[in-house]
Amino acid sequence: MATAIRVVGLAGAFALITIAVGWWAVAAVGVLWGMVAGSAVRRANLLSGLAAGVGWFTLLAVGATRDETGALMATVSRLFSLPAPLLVAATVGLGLFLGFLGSWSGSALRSSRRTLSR
Amino acid sequence: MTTAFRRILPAGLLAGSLFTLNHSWGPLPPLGPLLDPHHGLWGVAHSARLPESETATIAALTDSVVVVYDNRAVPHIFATTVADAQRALGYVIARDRLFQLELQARATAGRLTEWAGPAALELDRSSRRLALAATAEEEYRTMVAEKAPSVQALEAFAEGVNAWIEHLSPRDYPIEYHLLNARPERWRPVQSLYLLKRMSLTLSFSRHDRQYPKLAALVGEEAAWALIARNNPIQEPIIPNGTGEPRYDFDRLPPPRIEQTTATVRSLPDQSWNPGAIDKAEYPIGSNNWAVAPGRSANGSALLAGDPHLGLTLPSIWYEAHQVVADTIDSYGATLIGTPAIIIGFNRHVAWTFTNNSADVVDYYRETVDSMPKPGGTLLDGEWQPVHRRIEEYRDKRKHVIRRDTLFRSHRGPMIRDEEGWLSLRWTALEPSGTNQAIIDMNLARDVYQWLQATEGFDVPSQNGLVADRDGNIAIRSLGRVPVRPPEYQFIWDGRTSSSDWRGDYPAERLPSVVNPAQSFLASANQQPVDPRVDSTYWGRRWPTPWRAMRIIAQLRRDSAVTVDAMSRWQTDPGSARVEHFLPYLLSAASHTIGDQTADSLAVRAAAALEAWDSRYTMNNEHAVLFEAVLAEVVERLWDELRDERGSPVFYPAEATLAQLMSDASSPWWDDRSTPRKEERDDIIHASLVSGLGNTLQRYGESPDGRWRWDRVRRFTIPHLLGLPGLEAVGVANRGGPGTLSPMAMRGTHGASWRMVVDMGSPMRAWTTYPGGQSGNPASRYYRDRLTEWSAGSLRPVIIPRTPGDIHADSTIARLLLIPGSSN
Repeated sequence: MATAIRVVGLAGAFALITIAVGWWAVAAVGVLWGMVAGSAVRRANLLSGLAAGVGWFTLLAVGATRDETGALMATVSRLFSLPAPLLVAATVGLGLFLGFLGSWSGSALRSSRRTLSR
Repeated sequence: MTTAFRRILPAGLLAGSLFTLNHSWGPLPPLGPLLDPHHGLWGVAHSARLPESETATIAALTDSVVVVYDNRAVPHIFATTVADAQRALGYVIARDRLFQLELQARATAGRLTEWAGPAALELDRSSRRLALAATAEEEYRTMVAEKAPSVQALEAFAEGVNAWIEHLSPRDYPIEYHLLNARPERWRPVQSLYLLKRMSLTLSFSRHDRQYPKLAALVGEEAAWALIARNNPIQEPIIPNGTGEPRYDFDRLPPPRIEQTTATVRSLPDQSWNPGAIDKAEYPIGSNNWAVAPGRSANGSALLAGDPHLGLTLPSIWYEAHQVVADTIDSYGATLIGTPAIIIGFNRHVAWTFTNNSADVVDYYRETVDSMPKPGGTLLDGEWQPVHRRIEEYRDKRKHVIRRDTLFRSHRGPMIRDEEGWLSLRWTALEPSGTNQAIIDMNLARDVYQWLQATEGFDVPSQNGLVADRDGNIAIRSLGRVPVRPPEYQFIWDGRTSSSDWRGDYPAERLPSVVNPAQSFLASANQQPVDPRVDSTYWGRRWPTPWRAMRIIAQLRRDSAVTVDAMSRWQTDPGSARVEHFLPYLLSAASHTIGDQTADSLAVRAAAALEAWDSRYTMNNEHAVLFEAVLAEVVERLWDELRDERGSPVFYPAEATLAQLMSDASSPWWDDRSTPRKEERDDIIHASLVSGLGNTLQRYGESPDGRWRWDRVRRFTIPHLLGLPGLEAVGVANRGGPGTLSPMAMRGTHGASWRMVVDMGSPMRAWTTYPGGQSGNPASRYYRDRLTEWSAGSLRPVIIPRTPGDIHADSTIARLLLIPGSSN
């Protein structure tokens, strides 16, 4: 349950920071999360990646309810000669990657600081 | 792996990933910004739909403006001042077509390398050599200095465009900006002039004169002059000549003087103005317009139809809009992207449209220079005239200079070097023009006479302006400057003497024109405007063969009670004067035997198939493909004299010249030089029937099961502006073929770019369509929503409200309120 709550909360944070700042800010939030929760939370990096993917998927899903998302997917699919779902997969995958990598970096940074402070 | 490395690795990976995702690699845009679910490509889906109701600001507005989008996504703009209406037009065009606006301006200015890098360099160099943008800049500076009224219009339009750009976030950028990793530039008023110059390049630039020396080297001077003929041998002029039918002036074509050929025909050098493949079709860009006076219309009011033919793109070159300013402007129609007024359309008093007029407004001068590599002066009347140099820098995406060119300009115009030395170009489009003001004034006209007066400043491109008014008047006039030349015409003029120069322009009242002709109708389809037996003034040469004019005028002569339906139907009339002229020759030649029985049987079979044809380019006919294959063979075999040393054609004469030769069965032109035999017309046609059928069978197989159907073998491909796959329209069928009223040219990329019929009765009614849609966003339902109706040849009635309240809610898709104020 706690993990689900964490994922939802983090996903919200990733979505909001993406709207407010942009794609790269997901990595920044991931770094912060990794620094804060890296050792305290089990599989914190995976959780961060999952949450970022969920956050970005949610943004796409919300957009799809009011925008011409289907038409855009069809257009991009024709443009790149790729299956339309691949665009969604690539987007969510990128979010996941940034969230994971950010958190991993944050955890490593935290470990480094601990080592240095000792 | 050490502990330290393990700790650094994630951070390094993250930094590397962020760097990689934020940079372009090859043609790929940066993937990070592109895939951003809020600001990236996905935002294109968001901006594809117009908000049902929205308020926006334009700082310079003097009062609020209401814009109502009807169910065809046409914005109806209701403003209290003309300038506000122009601002609103700029805003709505930018909203729908921002990328197109900038692309056209950049293409004219030769700045595409800043988006596409070296791949666009040659295109940019060609644009800058012509100096269209530089001319527009100079023209605009003069307009500002003289406080020309049209400056206000251009400024107002730019304020509207920039108000849209200012409030854009990357999320709202058109898809092309995402793919190019670019951001929109602010619009400058002068860029609207760029676009008119660009249209002049499309419509009024000619290379015929430069083709003459090559032709003369191949076939002798007399034959070359005849091939680039001053008068079309088929006369069905725009200004009625009273004959009541086409006239065929089929004199004997001077024979080719092959034995006189001494020069080796060389290709044009790379350095050229507007380079490109030679046009196989004699005139790939044509247009139609016609009007009937009340005396010949079924409902007793003047009717007008227009369909300009151009290169087709998605989004279209046109944007449909309606501007209303109480008691001043109430204009509806098509505007060119970037122009602050309606170009083709109607107001509550007059309706107007254009076809291109092939007047000769381009001349080339052979200059004598003081230094061949870098001229500093040209000789004129024994004195050196200074040559102006301009350094042009081409930059890439990162603003690095990738090339510098020195461009030279004589007192006549831009110079280029060719194999003989230096040439100057003089062209009306490279001189100050009043076209922009004329377009604005046309929108204000209250009758035919005011409209004609307004167009007197329309300098370039040369057009046939057709107009009808509510009082039942109809008129047509050749618009545009036409220079008065020295009497002895030269294809390449001697630059050493001022006696070669233009001697002013013909005054507007001398240009071909007629108001309310006795025949009660007018029609133009790019044909020679005046019968040379009526007026022998030199207006131009190599006029398009009047197949389309013949067809439409025949319809108009036959029908004394023309209806709106007939006007609309004729725009895609599948009948062809061209086929009616050539087909009898093909059929009669089939019986001619050359002794080869296999060939004879194929020729008879081809002739039988053509004989069964009704000569119409209907979508389901299975004969037009064979006719075109046979005629193409005739053309290739006939003009074997017009090939260079590598066998490439250097010139394709007009089809009227082919028609002329059809009436001269034993002309030496028919001889195939590759055989010892002396061929005549029927030999060539016979062989063409055989090979035409053979080619068709080889390409499409046997005709049963619809493989020869016209709508399967000849279809439009309407490319995206950048040629992006998936954003184009492929396989769009057309009821028409070469020489019909709805032609398909240049391998299916050119055709009717706008169709309109206006009934000037009470109430005024109008119907329009164009290939594409109002939106430039490929995810929008209005990107290509009109293609089906356009392909079927049907038009949609337009809504012409006087106030916002006149548009029913059912017919409204969006409302936009523009208010004065800062967008911040």
